[in-house]
Amino acid sequence: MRKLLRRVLALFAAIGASLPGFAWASGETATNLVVVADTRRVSGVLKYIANVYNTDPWLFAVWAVVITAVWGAILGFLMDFIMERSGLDLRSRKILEH
Amino acid sequence: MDWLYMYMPIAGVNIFWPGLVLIGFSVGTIGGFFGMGGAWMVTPGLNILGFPMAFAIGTDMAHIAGKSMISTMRHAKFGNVDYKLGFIMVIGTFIGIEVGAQLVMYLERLGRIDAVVRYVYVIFLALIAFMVFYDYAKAVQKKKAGAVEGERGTEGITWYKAFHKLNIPPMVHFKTAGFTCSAWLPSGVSFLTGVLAGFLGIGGGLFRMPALVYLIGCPTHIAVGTDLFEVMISGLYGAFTFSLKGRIELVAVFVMLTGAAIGAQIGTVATKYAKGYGIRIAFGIAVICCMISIILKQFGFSNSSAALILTTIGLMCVYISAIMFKGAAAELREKKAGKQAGHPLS
Repeated sequence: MRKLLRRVLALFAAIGASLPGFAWASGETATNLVVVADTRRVSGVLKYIANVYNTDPWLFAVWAVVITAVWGAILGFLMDFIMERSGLDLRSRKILEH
Repeated sequence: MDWLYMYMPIAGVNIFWPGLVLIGFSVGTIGGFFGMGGAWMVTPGLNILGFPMAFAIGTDMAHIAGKSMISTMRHAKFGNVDYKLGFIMVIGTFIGIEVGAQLVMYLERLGRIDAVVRYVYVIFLALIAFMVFYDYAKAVQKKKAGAVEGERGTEGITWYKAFHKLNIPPMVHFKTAGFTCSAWLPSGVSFLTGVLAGFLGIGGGLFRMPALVYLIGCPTHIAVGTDLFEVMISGLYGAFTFSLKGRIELVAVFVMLTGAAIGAQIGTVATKYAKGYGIRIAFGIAVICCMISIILKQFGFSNSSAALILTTIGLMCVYISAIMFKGAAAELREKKAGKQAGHPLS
């Protein structure tokens, strides 16, 4: 089994080592891709987000993290509130591997 | 049927939004059960729905951060999260994710990111699947031979025992997980899994969950909870770094999170009624299906790939939901019977 494991690992290592070759063989290098959000088809909050995306990447990144965390927390508390009313014991469990 | 499509201003594509809710729900269920973000399903899923790969990766990162937050809150109440272990792993994860994300940007400039990401995915999925089934086969073999090891029962792979012998200070005791090891072990493992996470645009749970079990030595349930805590933090950091690089679609994140909030409850509560090896085997099967779907896509069989991944996600959701609802119904029946007998169970 150890011999088989060694062979499998060697195979993965060989494939992994060849990856940069695949990438380089792909052709000419491209320049940095610049994406611009289309603000013409959206309005309200979506327009604000699209504008921030186009003008201030740092502010956009901060907004992305803050809004994701806040939305996750709101949904988490809401679901917790609902689940607590199911009558299940949601504070203890047994650890069984088999 | 235009109302079923939502315009994504940053990626510039019209997306079938019920597909986003369904992906969120499914990944919430599966991720909460296996202890990971579930990005290995989301990234190809978003790609199938029409997002370019780089956008699929960034969007995925933010979504798994929010979803893991919901699952972690639930796991924490069960006592499945070892915060000390989680915090120690955070630094290695952060550095690793940044290294991986830089690698993605480099490959994007080379113009072959889609193919390379898929190759790396396949290699590591194969490795994980092999490890899971090898562990199970070995555990069954040992059990048949009558070997019982320690309080966890018969185990297949016990590499963590060798790693625990590494006596490099500082040595740390992890109370919730129930073992002592060098702080360098979780730090090193988290760095390596972080590099893969940043590169593949996933929270890293796919690699960290088995690593926590096989290399660090966590019981499966603690690995699931602690890993989700890690995925939450690494996902938030990943969301920040990918937002800075302009490869994220926030609108899609919120739509997916709404579905994920419900799924996460089902998946997390299901772990209460599942056994450790049951979780591991289901995990291994899902990994194999995911690997085959990526291979199919690489060779141009996109429809077959999409069908396989959607079928896998669907069946896994049914399996996990069945465990949860069956377990919950039994618990409620037991409580009711206890009350009727005059001995209410707490």
